[in-house]
Amino acid sequence: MLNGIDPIIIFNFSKLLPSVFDTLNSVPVVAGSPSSFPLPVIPIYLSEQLTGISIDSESKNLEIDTQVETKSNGDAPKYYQRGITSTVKISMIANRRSLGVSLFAAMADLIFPKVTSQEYSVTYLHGAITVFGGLLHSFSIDQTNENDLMRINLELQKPPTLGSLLISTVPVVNKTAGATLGGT
Amino acid sequence: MNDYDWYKIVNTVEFEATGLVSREVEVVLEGIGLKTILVTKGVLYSIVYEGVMLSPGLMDNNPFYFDGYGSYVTLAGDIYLGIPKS
Repeated sequence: MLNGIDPIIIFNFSKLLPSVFDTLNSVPVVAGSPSSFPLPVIPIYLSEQLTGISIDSESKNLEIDTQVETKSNGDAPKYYQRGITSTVKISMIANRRSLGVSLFAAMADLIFPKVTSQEYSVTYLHGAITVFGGLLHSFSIDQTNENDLMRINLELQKPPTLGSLLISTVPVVNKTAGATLGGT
Repeated sequence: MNDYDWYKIVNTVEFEATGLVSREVEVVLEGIGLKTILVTKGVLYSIVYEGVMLSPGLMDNNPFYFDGYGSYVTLAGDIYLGIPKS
């Protein structure tokens, strides 16, 4: 294990509900927000003893594109920046017969068709390196004939702060005193 | 009514305009938190809160109380959910 603490990776899946406009021509269904239904989470404990996977290395990367615009009058140049990626790379090794490798491969196959609908997210927790609700940026499993070890490379993209956006669109309803409603 | 805190959930005129039969409304109730309430339209409008169906006006009861909660509909069509004061 890396740093003496076993990490955990959690796969979250959800199912998009049909939109109101798809169903208005047939039997109406409940239309509400949020528009996705959460499914049970699938945790994988990255421990040599439990799942046969150990972390070989971790890295956190920020890639920013910087454009510099120099001025024809010799004034100080202007800098324009835009974020490209914010990713966490995890490299793992496992025995080819380990349960964890089979689980990982199955999860990657489950995620692939959902990347456009974003009906998934991946959470990785290991000390200072954490990604909550991240997106899969890349995934690979490599094996050579030199030994029976498999190398798993996983890259997670940090998500936009969708959580805070969702809460800000939920209306807040204040209390009203009974006397003002006029009932008895 | 004074023993309850009342929260406006939906207006029947606005709901009628959507053409829906039922809709889940997600709101943050002051002092309670994020809750999901189902609004349904039948002969009367009803709201379902914490598994309890409340139909203001049922059997001419307005406010309508059931299972510890209340509901009330105003002349303007505003439906209120009543939660006992703690």
